[in-house]
Amino acid sequence: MGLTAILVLKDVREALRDRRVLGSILIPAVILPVIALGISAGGGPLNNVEGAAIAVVNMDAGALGSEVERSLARRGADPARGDPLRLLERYGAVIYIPRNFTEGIIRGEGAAIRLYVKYRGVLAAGRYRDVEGLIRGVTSTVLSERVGAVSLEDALRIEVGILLEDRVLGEDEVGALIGASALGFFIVLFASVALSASIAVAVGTEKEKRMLELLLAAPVSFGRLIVAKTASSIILAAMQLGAIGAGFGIYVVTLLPALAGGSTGGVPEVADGLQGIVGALVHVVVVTVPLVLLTVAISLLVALRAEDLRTAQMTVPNTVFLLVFPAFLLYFAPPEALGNAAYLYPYAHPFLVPLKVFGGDPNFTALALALDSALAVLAFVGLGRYMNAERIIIGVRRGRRREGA
Amino acid sequence: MAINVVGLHKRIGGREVLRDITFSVGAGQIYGLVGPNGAGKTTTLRAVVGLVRPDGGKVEVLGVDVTDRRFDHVRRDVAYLPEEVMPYDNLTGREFVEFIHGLYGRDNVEEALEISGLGGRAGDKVKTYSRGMKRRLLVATLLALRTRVLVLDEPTAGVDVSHAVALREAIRSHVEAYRVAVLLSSHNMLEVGYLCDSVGMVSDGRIIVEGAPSDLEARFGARNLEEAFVKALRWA
Repeated sequence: MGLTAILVLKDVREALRDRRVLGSILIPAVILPVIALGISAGGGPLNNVEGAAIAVVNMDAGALGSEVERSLARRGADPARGDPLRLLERYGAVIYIPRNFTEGIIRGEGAAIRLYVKYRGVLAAGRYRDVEGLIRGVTSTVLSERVGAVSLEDALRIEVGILLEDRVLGEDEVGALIGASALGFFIVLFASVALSASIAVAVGTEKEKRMLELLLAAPVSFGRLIVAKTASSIILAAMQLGAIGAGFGIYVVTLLPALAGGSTGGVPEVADGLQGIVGALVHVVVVTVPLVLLTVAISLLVALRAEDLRTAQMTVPNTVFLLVFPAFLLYFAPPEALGNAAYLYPYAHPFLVPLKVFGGDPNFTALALALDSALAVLAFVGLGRYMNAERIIIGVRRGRRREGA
Repeated sequence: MAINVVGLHKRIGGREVLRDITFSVGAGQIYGLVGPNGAGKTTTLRAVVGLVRPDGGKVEVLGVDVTDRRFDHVRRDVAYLPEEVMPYDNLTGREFVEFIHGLYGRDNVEEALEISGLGGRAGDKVKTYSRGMKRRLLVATLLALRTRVLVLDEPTAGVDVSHAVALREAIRSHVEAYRVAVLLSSHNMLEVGYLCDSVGMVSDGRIIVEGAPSDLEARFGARNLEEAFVKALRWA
């Protein structure tokens, strides 16, 4: 065996003999697939708009609407009557032909067909395009047979309404919702991982250098030490995130004219589109504050159990990542598939808050804030009660002596 | 007595690591604990500074039980040097002294730097210091705090001979000047013999024999403390 191999083998063997390091490596391999399977089993079928039944509600007073309805029925859609939003309880998509459909076409003003679908999570966001294609195909055939040569682009508009909770959102709003949810999740993920890494270094260094022992014997209470570590870690993580945020801000500002088609006149429109995201992100930031404190408490708990810097650096961010990352998997699940447990899962809140804000229930932010704040307080109280100088320094666990007397 | 330990017992992980430890240290005295690795010296020191809670017996420092809430107020007068502790790499020597003295509400930085012998290196980052320089910085920082009780775990470990001698002299003169009560543990019998007024030899969690270094040498018919220690272990 070569010298390099001997050194590498020693490093790997030494690291893997620490139960916490081993756990932090193996647990994700088990937990993440289990969560993904759970979401897939619970919400998978709901993602599928293509396979779901389609209803067509014809309110047109003229003949073209009936013709489009019949054509759609021949392709598997169910003719139906009633409130299209209620029909969404039974159908995957509802095609609504309005009263003045024929009149608009004949007069050359054009007409709109509305397509209603339910919001079914980010993966299903593009599925209703298939139904849109079906509507265009059928209408094109009907118009060419009945009206003659007519530009479908001029004659037909398809207005998509996406039902989320009690609100019907436009496509722009759904884009904003997806953007806000993704940004919300990444804010919490980056904040949590940056914080946990900062705490791992701060506490791990103290433990490795045995300075924690000196400090705990000094006239500094454990509570004050925890507050100081929390504050310094938040400051360092904020500096790190601030630098990333500033860079990202410059990136977005630089890119805005390009997004608006290169014309400066288009910038305000793009900015308008961002307003929905910004509004939801304000709610996200509010719930992020207690989540950050919760992360700090958990990170401190894990870091204080680590014997040295390396163990702290391996176990603390991994533990936090494991706590936060499952929220990302919920991002792909349809709202119907999210059970009550998902709403009690604190790290899902930055994703659920935009969903509720866009769904017309902004009060959820207050509930999430209350729950997350209570959890953060409990975590710090638990940390204070469980941790003491003896446990930190000697680290006795399950009847085994961990350090020389 | 500045430090009074009576019948101290401690169990860690189901094993009794301290058994009926009893000793006391008065103001202006240096008491040394010597013994093999794992004998219980460090645990005793930790119990004295309140880091380890006794399972039995009593530990009083400056008249206050270390398990009493009032001990938090006493901590300002107790300084503890853990074994193998290392100062922060990215602070300068001066910044480190300022940090520790800030925690104790003291400002004897220049005195600490003088005792440390760092000279012009005090403004350099600690990571550029040798192991011996780091230890000198630590001991000097704690000495200059002028606390009434000083607990030192292997104070000169890793320090070269000439600097170790200087540190021992600094400790001795500090004790005489400020009547500090010092409890220290060491494997260096020469150091213990030079510094300590009284020595407790610890084995398997018990003090097997105690006395002034010269008395122990006489009692075991030994030429020096090291020989007395080996004979004491056999006798025990």
